[in-house]
Amino acid sequence: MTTRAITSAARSTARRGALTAGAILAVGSLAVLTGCSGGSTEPAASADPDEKVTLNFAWWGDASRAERYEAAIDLFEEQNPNITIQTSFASFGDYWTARNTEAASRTLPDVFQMDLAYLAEYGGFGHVLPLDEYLGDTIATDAIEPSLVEAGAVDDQIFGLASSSSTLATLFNGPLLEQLGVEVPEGPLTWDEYDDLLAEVSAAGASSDPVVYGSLDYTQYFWLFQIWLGQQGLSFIEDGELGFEQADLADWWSRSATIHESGGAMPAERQAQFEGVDALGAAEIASDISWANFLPRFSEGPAAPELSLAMPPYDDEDNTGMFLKPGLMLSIGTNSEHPAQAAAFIDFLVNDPEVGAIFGMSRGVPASATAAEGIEASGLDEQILAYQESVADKLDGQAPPAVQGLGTLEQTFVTISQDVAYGAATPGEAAERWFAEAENALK
Amino acid sequence: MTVDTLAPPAPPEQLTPPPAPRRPRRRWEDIRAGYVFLAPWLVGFLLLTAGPMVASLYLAFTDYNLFSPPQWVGFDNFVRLWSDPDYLQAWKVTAVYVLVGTPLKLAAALGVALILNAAFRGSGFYRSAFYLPSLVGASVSIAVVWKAMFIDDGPVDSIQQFFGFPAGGWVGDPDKTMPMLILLAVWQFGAPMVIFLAGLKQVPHELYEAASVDGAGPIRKFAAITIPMLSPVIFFNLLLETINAFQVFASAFIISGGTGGPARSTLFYTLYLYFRGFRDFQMGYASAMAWILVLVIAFITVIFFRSSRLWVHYAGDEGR
Repeated sequence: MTTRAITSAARSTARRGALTAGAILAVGSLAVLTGCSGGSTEPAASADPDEKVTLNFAWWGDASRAERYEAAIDLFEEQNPNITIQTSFASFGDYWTARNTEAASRTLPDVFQMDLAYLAEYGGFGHVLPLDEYLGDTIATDAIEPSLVEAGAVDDQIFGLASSSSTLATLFNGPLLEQLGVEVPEGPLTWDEYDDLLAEVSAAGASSDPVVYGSLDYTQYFWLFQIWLGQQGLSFIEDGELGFEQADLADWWSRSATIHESGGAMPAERQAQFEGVDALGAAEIASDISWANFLPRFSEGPAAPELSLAMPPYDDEDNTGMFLKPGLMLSIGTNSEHPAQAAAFIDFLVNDPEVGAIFGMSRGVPASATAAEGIEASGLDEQILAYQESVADKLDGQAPPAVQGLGTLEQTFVTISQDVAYGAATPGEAAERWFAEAENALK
Repeated sequence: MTVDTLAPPAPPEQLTPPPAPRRPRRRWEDIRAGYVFLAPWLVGFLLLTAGPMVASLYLAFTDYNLFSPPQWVGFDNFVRLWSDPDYLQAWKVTAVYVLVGTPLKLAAALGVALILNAAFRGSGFYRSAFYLPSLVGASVSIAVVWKAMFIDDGPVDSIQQFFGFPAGGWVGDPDKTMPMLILLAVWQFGAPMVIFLAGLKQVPHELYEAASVDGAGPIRKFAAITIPMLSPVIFFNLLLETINAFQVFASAFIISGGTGGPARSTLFYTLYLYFRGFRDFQMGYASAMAWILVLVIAFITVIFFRSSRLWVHYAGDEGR
């Protein structure tokens, strides 16, 4: 080869060598840099008060609950300047798919709202920390009823602390009823009386703009179904299995056809349009059955309705099926790097009287007596309190125990009942489908 | 003048004959450098795509709820699929979307491409304008806006009332949610349209001129010249759009509010897979669903390729 060729070949080998070396360097630094971004530190066993800490907090709820939580968090951050709280919230359904995904990737928020529906899975599979070591210490429990504390237990370990308890109620929009010329019910109604009332309202409200209906299709309400089961002398779960038959569920869902035919229930197509707004709050229905502590939420709706509370329908006075549902539990994700601070935050949310004042009764009856002290019950809060007191001695039912698959059962119940509302499935078919799901979910 | 100037020029440096041509062998250093540069992508592919696919194949034969270790159940998941009414509904919904939406989308793309092929003033602007939806169309924000357009008293409702059609948003009506989603798909015809445009520009003009001389009308020209010459592009677009249509998720999720639609009318296959996996903690079942989808799409792709011999003309093919 010629000299020129030799030198150029040598240069190109050297260049290639340099290229390869450069490539390795580039790839190597990429790997190091991406590795640098994530990083886990050992979670501190006890809170270092001088450590600057960021906690993630997630809850489900609507905008009115979000406002109240933000106010409570501002208060907490004032009192604990080294702790910053990052928040996120979603509607109930979206919330749980998000949490489930986070649970799988071990990136759950430090503190998040927990529900009976998923307590068994999250606690049983170790996604949330047992709170026992914090209870009585960082988290004061002397003001909380022991049975409410126990409600968050799975296999004798407490995985979620209830911040409130709530009951269902029928809410009536009195002024709207009067406007439509329908008599406001005085006392409790039987199921048939309630259906008739709904039909009456829809007939009278057909010419309004927007059209007013009696209520939404209440057969979609999982927790009302629980009450109805209790009234039939059945329980949802018995010895780890379903405590009722397919026929019972079909009976429940056959009520849907009745109220749709009579016009008492808002058509499913219309109901599907409501997103972020409640039909009751927009005064497109005159009554609804929901949690008593949702009174502020509905009252703050676009039509600012004046609502009254009454018991859910029952046919037998001695068998109301009503129970207290432990609500808005708070849990700590196992992957939390600051469990001690997270526990302190939970203690704040559950026990602090100022937080009690912020939320009033909108969470339900506060689980902690100290939080309840902060409430100057006035207006809507007083209404809720009065209602809770009036039903306190009529609670002869029981909330279903936290079992694995409860969340799936609830979600499937809502989805399948939609099909019933659209007339896309008969009650019998729907019950069959739900039972098939339940078989898979409960094992 | 001396004889020297008439002497032949000095021989060029490379008078020695070049080495006999042989197949160039890549030097190891070249190959190595190539792999090193490829490494980040390879690692990502193996860890994020190929690895999980293999894992999912394993999981399809197990009962896995994300939290406890998977338990082998053999073909149970696959057997359960066929007796699951929601599963069959998911196939129905997806099939309608693919069989109706894809041809409509391609027809719109071809139609608009034909119009835009004649370069008129502003055709460049229209080209970009039509292309824009396909860039953003699969996004969450577009799905949210699209849904908001079709609710009661929304823009679409107002327009249809104006024309005397019965009032009512499309969002709550199980019969109208599919048309709504298909419209969303068809609205994103820009990407195939641009490809059709490129294909149209490659059809030789002489063919059209010859056809005119023979007295062919526009329809005859379209059927006998445009379509056959475009057939490779049609094949490409058809294949890609079909595969994409099977995988739609974001718009279905947002528009149905994460429920699979009023009365399961938007329960797409991917959406149902997501529910099973992340809402019901049945990852084994969801993995089985995923692999069936892969097999079905692969099967359809094979059919497309086999059938392409019958109707796709590639330029340079001898006679037919």
